[in-house]
Amino acid sequence: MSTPRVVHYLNQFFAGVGSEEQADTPPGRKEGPIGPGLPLQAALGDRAQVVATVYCGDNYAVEREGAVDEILALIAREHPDILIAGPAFAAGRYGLACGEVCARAEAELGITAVSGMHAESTAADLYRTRVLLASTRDTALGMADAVQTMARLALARYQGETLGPPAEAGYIPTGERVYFFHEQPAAERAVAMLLAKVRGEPYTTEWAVPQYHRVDPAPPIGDLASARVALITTGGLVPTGNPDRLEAAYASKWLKYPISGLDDLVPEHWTSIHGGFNTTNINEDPDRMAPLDALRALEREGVFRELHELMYTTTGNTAAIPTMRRFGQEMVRELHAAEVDGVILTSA
Amino acid sequence: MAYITTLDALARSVGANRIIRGKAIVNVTGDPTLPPEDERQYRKKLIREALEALRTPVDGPTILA
Repeated sequence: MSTPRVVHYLNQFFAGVGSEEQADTPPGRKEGPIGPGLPLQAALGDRAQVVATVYCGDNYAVEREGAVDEILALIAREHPDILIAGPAFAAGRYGLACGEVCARAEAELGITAVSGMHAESTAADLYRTRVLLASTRDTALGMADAVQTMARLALARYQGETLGPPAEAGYIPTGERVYFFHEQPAAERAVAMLLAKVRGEPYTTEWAVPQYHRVDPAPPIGDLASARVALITTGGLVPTGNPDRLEAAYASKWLKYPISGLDDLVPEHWTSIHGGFNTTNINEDPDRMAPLDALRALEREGVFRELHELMYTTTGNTAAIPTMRRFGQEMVRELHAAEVDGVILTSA
Repeated sequence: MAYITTLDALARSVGANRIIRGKAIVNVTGDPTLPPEDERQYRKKLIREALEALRTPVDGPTILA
C-alpha cells in the first residue's frame, strides 16, 4: 500500500501569510507542510505524507458564501486520503472553519478528516458529534502535544482502528455510546468508587454529569397578533411510513415537513416512531403530540398572525446532548431566516 | 420558545426558559379520557397558554402554566 496522502488545512496566520490584517485572504495552496505542518509531518513519520497545505483567511472562511467550496476544491485536487485541520485551540473563526471543512471533506470527498481544538471552544461544541477532534490546550502553547494527538488519531481513523475512550485516546467526547462487557458488575464498581471517595483516594466516574449550557431567555414577543410561530416536536412524528427514516432512538437527524395546507394531523398520514414511550395515544390522534389543530384554530382567531409553513421534527429519545444542541442551532438558523418570531416545542 | 412537556422539572434543570406542563408523557397535548370536543378545547387552552408564554418576560427557567 502506498503512503497515505495528507492535506493540512491552516488559517492565514499559521500558514505564514499574515495576521489579522490578512484575515480576508482567499483560499490558497502551498507545497508540502509548513508551520505547524512541520511537527505534524514529524509526528506522522513515514506512515503518511503531508503533500500540500491549504489555507484560508479567518474572515474569508466563515463569511464568504462558497468559501468552504473553494477550500474543498483545493483539497480535492491533491487526491488526499486524509485531511488534518488546525489545531485551532480555542480560536473562534479558525475553529469553525476547521470543523466545517472537516465535516464536509468526510461527507463529500469521502476521506478521513481530523481536527484539534479546545474542548470548551464554540467550534468544539458545534462539531464534536460530527468530526473527530483532538482535545487540545486553549492556546498555541499546546502545539507539540496537539499535532502528536492529531497525527495518531488521523492514522487510527484512516486505518479503521477502534478508538479507546475519549480521555485515553485524547479526543473530545463525540456523544457516541459504545457498549462493552465489564468483568466487574456495576454494583461492585460503584461500591469500589464510593470506598475510594470515602478514603480520599482518586477515582474516575463512569458517567460524568453532563454540562448543560444555559441559554439566555429570548425577549418576549411584543405583539403576538403579528407574530409568525413555528411548531417543533421531539416526539418522533413523521409522515406515515417514515419515508426519511427518522430513528426511534439515538436520532442522527432532524426533519421538516410542509403543513401549510393542513388543519390537523390525521393518523392515516402521520405517525410517531418515538421508541421511548407508548405511542398508542399519539398514533390515534397525532395532534396529541404536535398540536396542529389547536394552532390553526388560534391562528384563525387572530391570536397570532400565522403558523410557519414547515413543521420540524426529531426524536428526543436517548439523545446525546451535543447532537441535540446542534439540531437546535441548525433549526434556529432556518427559523431566523424564515423570520419566525416564536416557537412552540413539544416533547413527551 | 415555549416548551410543552410533562417532564417540567427536567426541563427546568436543563435550562428551558418558558415551560408549560403538558398532560402526560403518552399524550402531551391531548387527553384521550375526554370526549373529542372537550379534548380539542383542552388542547386549545394549553396552546393558548404556550402562546401567552411567548410574550411573558422571564429571567431564567420558569414554569408558566
